[in-house]
Amino acid sequence: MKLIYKFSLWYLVITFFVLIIGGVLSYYTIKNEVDREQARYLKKNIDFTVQELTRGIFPDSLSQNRMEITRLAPNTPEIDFLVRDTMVWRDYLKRMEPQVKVSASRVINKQHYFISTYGAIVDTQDITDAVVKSITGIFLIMLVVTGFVSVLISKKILMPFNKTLKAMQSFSLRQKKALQLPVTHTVEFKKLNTFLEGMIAKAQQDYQTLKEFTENASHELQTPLAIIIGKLELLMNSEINDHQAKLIISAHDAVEKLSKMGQSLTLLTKLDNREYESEDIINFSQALKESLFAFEELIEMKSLKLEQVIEENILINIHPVLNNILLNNLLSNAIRHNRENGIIDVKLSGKMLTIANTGEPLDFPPVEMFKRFRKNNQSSDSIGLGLAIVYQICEQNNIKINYGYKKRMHVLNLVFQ
Amino acid sequence: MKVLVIEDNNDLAQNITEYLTREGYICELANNHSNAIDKLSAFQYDCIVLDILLPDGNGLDILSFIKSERFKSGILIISAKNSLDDKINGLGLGADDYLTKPFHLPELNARLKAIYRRKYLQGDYEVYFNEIRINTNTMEARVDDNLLDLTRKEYTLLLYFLINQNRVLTRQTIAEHLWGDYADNLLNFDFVYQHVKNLRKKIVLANGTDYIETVYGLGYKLNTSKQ
Repeated sequence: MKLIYKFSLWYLVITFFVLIIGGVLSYYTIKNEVDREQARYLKKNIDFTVQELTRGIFPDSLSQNRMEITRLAPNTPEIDFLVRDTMVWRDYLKRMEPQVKVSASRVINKQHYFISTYGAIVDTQDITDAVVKSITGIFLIMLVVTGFVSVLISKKILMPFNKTLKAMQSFSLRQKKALQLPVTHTVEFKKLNTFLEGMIAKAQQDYQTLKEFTENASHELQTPLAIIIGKLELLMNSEINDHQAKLIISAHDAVEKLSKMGQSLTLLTKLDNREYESEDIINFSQALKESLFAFEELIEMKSLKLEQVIEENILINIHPVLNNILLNNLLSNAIRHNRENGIIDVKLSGKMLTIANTGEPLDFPPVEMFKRFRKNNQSSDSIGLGLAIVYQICEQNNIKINYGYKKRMHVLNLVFQ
Repeated sequence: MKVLVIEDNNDLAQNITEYLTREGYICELANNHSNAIDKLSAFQYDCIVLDILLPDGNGLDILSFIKSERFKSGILIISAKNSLDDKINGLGLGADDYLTKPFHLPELNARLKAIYRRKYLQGDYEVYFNEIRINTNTMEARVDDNLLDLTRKEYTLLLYFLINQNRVLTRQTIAEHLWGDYADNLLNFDFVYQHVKNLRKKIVLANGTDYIETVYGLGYKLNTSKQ
């Protein structure tokens, strides 16, 4: 829900309750006022009746519809005005109505009269109606006005905030230029923008440092490794015995492995830093066929049977270098973890690539399949980064990848989005 | 062949010059940018081995310098940066080949010889040893007059052996030479053994001497002293 709608909703809910309380208050205020006026009018009537009685007119002729005059015992004390509420049957409303009743007793010409009269200028029902109508009216006006005003105000007041949001959304750490946020005079937004600008400048700097470190680390590592490999190769060609040869070749292999590991980790870091983003659309079917062709010989040498069904002209958006790494890792994996005379089954149709190969089941839970340095046979020669790289590439290119072991075959499924 | 090695790391430079000198190259060494420019201005070289990252300047500048002075030397870049951009930049500026560190010395040798053949002999060149001859232009190999029926990989392998005579070539080195990046993920090199076996069989069948021998524990070697 938009911020401004939340504000408005709360505002309206609060207004609603305030108006209800206000309605009750105004009802009682109006009713009080009307009742007081009514009482004054009735008192005047009584005063008039008292005057008439004083002039000697008979009480009977003064008693009318709303005026009752009765006699009291002469020695009872006089009652000054007594105002009370009473219920009166109203014919036209067909129900009892609360009305004001004023009574008084006066001693006139040695006779003690009790005079009482009642009436209402305005019906209680009418007051209620009026109050409800006006309150509803006010509420409706508030609703419309709040709606309009909130949209306008949100546009105006929240404009710098929305601009900041937009700038943040389109911002990428890889971009070289600093983040430019709109100028605002609202203190909170000013604080927010200053904070964001500072934080992002720092992040950009860190990102740059990290990138440089990765590149330098790779460079600085590879040079000593190149030296070691070179020295070992020179040593190999000197006069050595079999035992020394064995020592040299294990050292040589270990250095090779170290170098491969360094390169793979560098690649993973580059992937983490999203250095391979591309708008390129490539013909995946073509690339897959080329990769399969490159591995043809290796497949033959292990006496593997390759079954392939490849739909033509499947296009996907991926960096060509990454695609190459992805396919090479998947296929070499399917070859390496296969058995002699095994099968490799490659299917590409629609948006799905399936690569299945025969092989021994995993000796670890399948969920750890894509973890770094996870290998089926921990002592094996592989460095255990191939599938971690595959996973990382998939994640960054919106490719869903999952693994299963069915009918003694390892099955990897890639679904392009 | 006269080669200038431009490399700031002394150990690495020594490895390269030692290997290449044994191959009969005349090697000179420049260990920084200005030294390299001095030597390039004073002498002529057939090939230049160029490290891109130097302490006092970028190797690519030297490349531009060589091109602007119209030197005819073949240029092989060696770089620790396995980045596509560097590769494209280097080759775009006129380098002949690009090798990523760490590399194998026999590989460096093979690349330099290939550059030399392309640049100075228009590719029409015979690599030979005794009765074995390879025409790198037609990609044909013969034992005396018998044409060998080799697969592409076997041909490449034979050429590699002939270029690195009397050198131990490990299975790893051979695998990377034959399969390039594809060898990366296949750390079992049985297939190298297969190729070497087939190649030896074909040479023997064509009445050639089986010069290629297994060096126990290390790999293979073309032994020129074998009778």
